[in-house]
Parts: sequence; structure tokens; C-alpha cells
Amino acid sequence: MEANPMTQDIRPEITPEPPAPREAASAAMSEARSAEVPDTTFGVIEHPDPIINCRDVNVFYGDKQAVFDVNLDIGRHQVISMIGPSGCGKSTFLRCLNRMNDTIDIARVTGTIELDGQNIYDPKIDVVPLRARVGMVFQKPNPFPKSIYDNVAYGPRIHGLAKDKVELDEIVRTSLERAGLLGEVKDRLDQPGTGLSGGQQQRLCIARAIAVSPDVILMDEPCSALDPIATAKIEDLIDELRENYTICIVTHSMQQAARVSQRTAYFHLGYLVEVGETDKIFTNPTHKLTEDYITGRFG
Amino acid sequence: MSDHMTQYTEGHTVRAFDAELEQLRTLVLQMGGLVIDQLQRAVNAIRKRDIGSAKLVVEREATVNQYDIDGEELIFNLLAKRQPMGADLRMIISYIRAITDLERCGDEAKKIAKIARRHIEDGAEIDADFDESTESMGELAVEILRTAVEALDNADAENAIQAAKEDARLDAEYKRSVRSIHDAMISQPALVDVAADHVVVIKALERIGDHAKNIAKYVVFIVQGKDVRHVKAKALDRDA
Repeated sequence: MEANPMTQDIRPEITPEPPAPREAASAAMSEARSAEVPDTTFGVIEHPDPIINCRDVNVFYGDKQAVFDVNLDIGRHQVISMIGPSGCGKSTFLRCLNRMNDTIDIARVTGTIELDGQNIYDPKIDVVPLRARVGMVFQKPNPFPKSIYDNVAYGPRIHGLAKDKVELDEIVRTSLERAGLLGEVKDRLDQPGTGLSGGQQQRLCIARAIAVSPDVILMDEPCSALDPIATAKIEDLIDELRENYTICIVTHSMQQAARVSQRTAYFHLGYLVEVGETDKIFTNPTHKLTEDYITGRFG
Repeated sequence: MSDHMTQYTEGHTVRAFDAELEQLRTLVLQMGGLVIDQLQRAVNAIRKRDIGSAKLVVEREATVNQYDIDGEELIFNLLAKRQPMGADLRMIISYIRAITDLERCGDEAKKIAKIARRHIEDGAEIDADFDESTESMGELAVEILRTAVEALDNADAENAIQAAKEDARLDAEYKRSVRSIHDAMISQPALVDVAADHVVVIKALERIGDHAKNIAKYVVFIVQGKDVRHVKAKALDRDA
């Protein structure tokens, strides 16, 4: 293949360092066609019915900045997917939404993140109830070394959500049902959660998150350790869950983002490059970096 | 930024995907070249009483059809294997449509060639007026189809829009010719058989213009992401 200048544009070097400060904004279209991260996010960051509003969110790990000036609304009862190459800041940003970054000593978050109008980084906020309202499901299923029942009952117990055993039983049953797991485990609730298959364990973790009646569920690569059938079950579940919950999912699978989400946000080198309706992002994105990523030109 | 379709086929991390898209691009380009030649020869066969061209066009129709089959198979496999997105998806969807339009152009060219072959074999009379309208419409149809196919390969929306607009001229000439054939039929009843054939020929040329216009509009879809299939050509904004 002969050398083509386009090839060089299409495959920019990906370095862990953020780019040098940029010149003043050029015309929007030429900016959209460049391989540089844009000054402002392309697409519509607002949502008519937001549950979370993020404004000027920056995240630092020590001296190093991982997320730059992210502005984004998260729509209620929607699935929003965060995509982008490794190191683009999508997981770091996701973890800001329930202050999981607090667990990292050197991490520092600036800007505001409001959950239904309340800044979750307000010093008066208690992170324990916050993390009940904004639950999380991780890449690897991580059930507690307890019975299936106790895994799901754990949250309601520590948050005092059930006044008696009957109520607790009901929460456990409903949560397992909503997570699409009840039929498979109802006769062995006393068995250890770790004895389930990977896909079942992940659905158990989703049931555990649901049990404390969250508003938002954050999912960080929830299917990357699962086989295609288990993945399909989780994806089907995500679609069902959005009736009652808002879901933010970080995924490396563009096909998964395209299948499960209504809105997609594309991150690159710590910047939110573009956000839009999932159908638009995957058929006709505006920015060249988004286009290059979704067509498999780097990453 | 757009100057060639190869910018859409190159640069994927999976290089086999580049190769497959390039194979598709080449196939459509070759098919386009063959169909343009089919059209040109079919028009010559009518005008110049060229039996060789008439027979060649009829013979090569099978090759055009084979491109149709091969192209569709290639696209089936691409969709199944690569799950294309963004511009890749727009390109592939547009190419499958372009292949269909080219195949239909091939059918129209064959239709013209068969009429030519019959006229030559029957020793039918040549009518100068009919011949002139075939010539001018034929030249215009070839030009529009060539511009559309080139615009497709150059990912050149501007020239594509020009090609789409040119189709209006072909339509106007078709209407004018039909009227004059109608008049000729009334004044010279002996010409009715030849005149009826001639209507079929110019209708075929007019249809080829429509298919070329479709192809031109796919270029706009690939480059700009806008579906303009049902937008009137004169309403197509050059830089929108």
C-alpha cells in the first residue's frame, strides 16, 4: 500500500500525556475533521430530564490530570454508554459519579456533579447512602463469600431498609427477579454466591445493587469476563432495568454500546469529544476522532 | 478533505478489513466501467448499425450480473464479519445500492442492444431524426453515468450533485423526443414499428439517467451522511 498522508491522520499516536494547550477554536467543521481533541464537546451535552448534571469535571491523580472539563447530563431512565480507547478517562469519569475515586488517596476531583440537584461532592454528603443511590457493578463479578440470599440482603440490612424478615425476603426475591436470576436460584438461596457461573454471579451483583433501590447503576465493563450467552442475558437485563433505573455503562465493545444504550459519550485522552444519540454516533458521528474509533482505526 | 474513496477503505487497525473494503471498491469501479462501456456500445450499435457491438453487449450482460452476485456476496460477508459502523457502514450500504443501480443500467443497455441487433438483422430503415435524438440522449446518459461513477470513486459530493442535476436535462430531452416521435407516427404511419422501438430505446436511456442520479446521491450520503434519495436534484445544496 502506498504511503498516504490520510493514513497518518487516521492513526494518531496515542500517548498517555494530555495534548499541549490548543490554539483558539477554529471553525467548527474543520475542528470536527481534525484528529485533535476539540475545545468543547461535540453534540448535545444537555438532556431534557437529567438525573445527574456534571459541569467542568476534572480529575487528577497526583500531578497527572486524567479527566478534563467534562460537561454532561445523564438522562433519567436511560442507558448512556461511555466509550473510548484505554486510558481515555471513561472509567475514571464513571467512578466520579458515586465518588469511588475517594478510595484512591491521590485522586482529586474538581467541578460539580449534581444528583437530582444536589452536589455529591458537597463535604456534608455521606458517601454510604450516596453509593446506595448510585450503585456499581464491576468488570469481574465480585459476590461476597456468603450465601446467595445474604449477598442480596447485605445492602438492605446495613441501610435498614427492611423492618422484618418478611420484608427482607420480599426485597431479596424482587431484586433477584429483576436481575433475571430468581428462576435459576430460588431453590438454593442458602448456597454460596461464589458457586454460581460467571454470568449468574454478575446478575447476582446486579441484584445486590438493585436491592438498595438505587436511582442510578454504574457498570464498568460488566460483560468483559462473560461468554456471549451470559453477555446477551446481561444486555437484555440492562434494557429491562432502564424502566426503573438510570444506567451508565463503560464498555470496550462498541457493538455492546450500540445495542444497549440510547446515548453514547466518546472519550479521548481525558476529554469528552462527542456525545449524542447512539444511533447517530454509530452511523454518522460528527468528530473525526469518534469516527476513527468506531470504525476501528485505532484503539 | 475528500479526494478519493480509498480514504474510506484505508487505515483500519484490522488490515484485512482494509483489504476487503478495497476489494469492494475495486469491484464496484470495475462494474461501473463495464456498464458504461455496455451503454456506449449499445448506443453505437443503434446509431452505427454495429452488429459486433450489439452482440458483445448482449453477451457481456452475464458478466454484469456476475458482478452483482459477487458484490452482494462480498457485502454479506463484510456485514457478518466486521459489523461496520460510521462511514464504513454508509459506504457499504451505498455500495450495495450502487451495485443494484449498475445492474439495472446493464439491463437497460442490453435492451437497447437487442433492439439494435434486431434492426440490423431485419435491415430496418434508419430514420435520421430518431438517430439524432438517440445520439444526443446516449451521449448525455453516458456522461451522467460516468460522472456519477467517478464521483463515487472520488468520494466527490460536488461532482455527484452535478451529475444528479444533469439528469433533468436528460428527462427534458426524453419528453421532447417522445413528442416528436408521436408526431412522426401520425405523419408517417410506415415508421410506426421503428418509432415504437425508438420509444423503448430512449426510455431505457432516461432510466439509466435515473439510476446514475441514484448513484450520485449515494455519494452525498457517504460523504455528508445525509440521505438525499428523495430530495430533488435542484434542491441539493452544493456545500450543505
